[in-house]
Amino acid sequence: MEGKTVIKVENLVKRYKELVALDHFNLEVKEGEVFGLLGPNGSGKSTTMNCILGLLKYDKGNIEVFGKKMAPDSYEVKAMIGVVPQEVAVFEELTVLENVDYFCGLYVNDKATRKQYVEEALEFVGLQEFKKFYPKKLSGGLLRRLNIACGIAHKPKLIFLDEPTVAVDPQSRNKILEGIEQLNAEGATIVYTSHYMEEVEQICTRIAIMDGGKNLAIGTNEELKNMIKTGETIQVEILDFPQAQLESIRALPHVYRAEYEENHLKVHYTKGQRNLVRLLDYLKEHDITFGRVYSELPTLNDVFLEITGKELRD
Amino acid sequence: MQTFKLFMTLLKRNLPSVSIYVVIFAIISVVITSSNQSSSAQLYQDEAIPFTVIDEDKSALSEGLREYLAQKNEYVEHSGAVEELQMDMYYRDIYYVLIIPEGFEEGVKAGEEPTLQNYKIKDSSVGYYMDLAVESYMSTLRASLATGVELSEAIATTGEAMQASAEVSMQQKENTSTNSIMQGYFQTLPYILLAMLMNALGNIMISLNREKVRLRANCSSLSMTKRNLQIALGTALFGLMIWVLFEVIALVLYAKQESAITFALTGMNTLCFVLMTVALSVMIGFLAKKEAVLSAVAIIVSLGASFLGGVFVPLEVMGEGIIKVAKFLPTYWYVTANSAIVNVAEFSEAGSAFAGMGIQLLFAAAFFTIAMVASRKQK
Ligand SMILES: Nc1ncnc2c1ncn2[C@@H]1O[C@H](COP(=O)(O)OP(=O)(O)OP(=O)(O)O)[C@@H](O)[C@H]1O
Ligand SMILES: [Mg+2]
Repeated sequence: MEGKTVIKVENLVKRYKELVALDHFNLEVKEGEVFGLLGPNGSGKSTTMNCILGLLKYDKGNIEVFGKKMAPDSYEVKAMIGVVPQEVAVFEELTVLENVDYFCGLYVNDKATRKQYVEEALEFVGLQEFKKFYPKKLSGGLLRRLNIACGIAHKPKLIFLDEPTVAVDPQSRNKILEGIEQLNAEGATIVYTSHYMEEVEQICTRIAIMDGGKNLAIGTNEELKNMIKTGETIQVEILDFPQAQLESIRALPHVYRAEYEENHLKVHYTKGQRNLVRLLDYLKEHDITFGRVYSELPTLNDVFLEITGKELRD
Repeated sequence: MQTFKLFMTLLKRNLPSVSIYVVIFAIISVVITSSNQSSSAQLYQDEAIPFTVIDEDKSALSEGLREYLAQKNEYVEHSGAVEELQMDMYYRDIYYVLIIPEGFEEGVKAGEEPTLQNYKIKDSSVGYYMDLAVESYMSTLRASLATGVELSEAIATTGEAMQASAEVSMQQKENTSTNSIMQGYFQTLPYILLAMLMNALGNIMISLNREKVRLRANCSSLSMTKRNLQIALGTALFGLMIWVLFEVIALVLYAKQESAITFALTGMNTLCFVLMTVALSVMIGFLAKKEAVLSAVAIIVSLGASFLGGVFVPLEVMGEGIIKVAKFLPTYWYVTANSAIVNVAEFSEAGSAFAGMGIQLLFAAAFFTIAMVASRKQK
């Protein structure tokens, strides 16, 4: 989908005193995308978001949203944006309903419309039965859903979600991810921040990999995986593998690493065709009996690992 | 008006604690006022002095005089026997004996000044008081006679005139005693206002300005200026409501005895103080950031400013050094204005009261400015 450009960030530099949180960061998000910002803790994801939203002053660079330069008083642009901050930001003194109504009311003046929007948002996150609850009485997952409802009730065209699934049980997490896909299907452009690669792989149409305030790589899931030399990894269950064979396996085409541990032969490939067939043929030729065979495609973790030399998850 | 609505919702959540302050203060004021009124009534009863008259004249005048004295005092029938009189006076059944000699009326008619004799209990102000009463009756009567009217008519008009003046003096007495009660009411009010508004408004400001929700609101299409204006409107309205509430309580308790001007001036003074307190509360709400800090500050400021400013302890008994410090407190200026108002009968005399109010408004402006600067800094 080649839509209009919704967000354009050029050479963004943001310093917190000596610490350079964003270092000449570039980004372009197009209409209709679910754009993922993937990076470990402290890589500058929230900082990027807050700069785009005009919540933070930045030292250098240029930010445009919906074709207009973003400033703290860009209220027309802000009216089209929905934000779900990383930390739950709701009034403890207000009920679930009152919270959603308040934040929706910052955008929507008409009472009847607002009432309808609030109802829809509560239904969307599945909180209808908790309308009268105070946030303190909600579980972590429900609180996250309230946080989302407050950010999207006014039906924004562009939605920022900053790690909305942190510390959430799998059920709530799936509900949230499905919800995001639904919002996107209804026409919203999404910017989704996370350090969970599985989530990003699952819902994002395009992904930027961040580390140390830099945008290291940008592309679709496949494009990113194609950027790296790692291809599939094949694991074969073998009860008794002669270590001497390992060298010959390493000599097979596309293999760049092979090891045998705990009754499993693990072979890492660079990009290439027919790797599995060739490996199994080799084993049969040498009368090595084997059990189950697994083939794993590269993950974004492999991408991250290859670019930065460290694991995405600590 | 979304933020205004939010302010009101938060206010509603704080209303229980607000109403506790109001109710307790109202109850205390009612109790003080009513106990004071009954004691002043008692004081008046005490002055009903048991007396008797030995009337040797048996004239219209002697009867008029007796009736006049009996209006405010307790007339005791007596045979006139000297020994019995001595016993009754010894046992304090009778405090004062007036002896009206024969030919008294005739003498008065003739323009003479016939002497009246009396017995009274030694070393008691009662006797002096009765002498005065007799004296004032007689001088009023003579003044009336001097206009050339008949004696019977003079007796009648004197009786009426004396009764009217008695009522006036009675009312004046009540007036002075309750005036100090109302002054007391408004003198203690600053403490209640400080404690109550600082807690309620401070809490609301803290809720409104919690960083997370504030940032979220900053993402919205409603500008911060508009939101702040709505909050300002809410605080002003709340301050006004509280002011009206305490004015109404004062009206209910003291309306009968107070002059309109005292009410007007006291009301203005209190309004100034409310404004100052609202600004102070908003400022502290911005600076405190945490409820625990806020309540500590609220206790220290409300008690400290009240003690030093003369809310609890009269300024007259404080040392010069403390007064010098007190002048830096708005409570001091409220209290001095409140005291000045008591002696004011016309607006033109209220200069020092107005000065006190003006200084309170200056404090309000200063606190408000600091609050605004603090809110800018948050960004
Ligand atoms: N207010 C601040 N003052 C100083 N340093 C900050 C501030 N906020 C963030 N930082 C630093 O800037 C860097 C980027 O932080 P940021 O919150 O953007 O990371 P993130 O990718 O969102 O991380 P996380 O996954 O933990 O949310 C971090 O090193 C962080 O310590
Ligand atoms: Mg973050």
